[in-house]
Amino acid sequence: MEKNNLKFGLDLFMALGLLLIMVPKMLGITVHEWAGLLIAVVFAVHIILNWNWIKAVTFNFLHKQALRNKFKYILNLLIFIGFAAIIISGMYISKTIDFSWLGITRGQGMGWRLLHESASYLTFLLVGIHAGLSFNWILGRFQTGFELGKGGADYGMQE
Amino acid sequence: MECKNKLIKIILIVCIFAGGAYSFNHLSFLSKANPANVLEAIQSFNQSSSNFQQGFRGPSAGQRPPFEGQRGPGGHSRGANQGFNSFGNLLAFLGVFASTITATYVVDQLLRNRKVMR
Repeated sequence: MEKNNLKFGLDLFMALGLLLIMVPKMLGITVHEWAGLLIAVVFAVHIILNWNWIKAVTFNFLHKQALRNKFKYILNLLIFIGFAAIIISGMYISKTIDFSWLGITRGQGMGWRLLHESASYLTFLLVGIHAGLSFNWILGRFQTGFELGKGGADYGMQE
Repeated sequence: MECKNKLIKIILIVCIFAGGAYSFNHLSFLSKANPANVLEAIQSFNQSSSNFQQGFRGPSAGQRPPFEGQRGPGGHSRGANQGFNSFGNLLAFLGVFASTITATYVVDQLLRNRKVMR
């Protein structure tokens, strides 16, 4: 059950971080960019922690499976694409972090900025839907109070 | 007591949705979260690429617009109110997030034939 606690902690961190970086002027552009990178790392860890579910649904996607699972899979895929677009476009418009060592030249026109903003808003909505579908699990974590016991099952993760 | 709890839950959900709707409008979500913007961005990449091939030089660093150059209906003002507007926008995003989660949860529970109000 410690894995569930870790998952919940990381998810909570990601949700709060996402809210804060949606308003770059709140904490400044430097914090916005570094926090974005940090959230990208946490996002990767989130995927790794839920890899079993991803693998299970992927291999059985074309087989008889709950529609809800398929919907969640497609939603998660869109979120992944959204985050990838946000991170890559963010690298191209970065003002404080130098990504030239990756071969990324800063300031390649308005397209990257438009992509970054649009992808951010779209992905933000999708993340909200994702959290809503997993809300039973979130409630379960609050009820157990991060302790081992009942109600801590992976609601919405193993269906 | 059960009716009172149900009423409280209904009021809470209505408040969340109302806050979410206001925030959605305040942040101009419909225009900024429009998938057409993504297509426009891709088209601008193609345009930049073709211009480059024709010998066009893009804008220099001094001519680049500011980071948040687009000013929508819920755009940011400069000066002393900048901090307050940022906090207001943060609350608005929180409102949108909360209403999205709530709406999804309610619909999900209804579709799964579970009781939303217990």
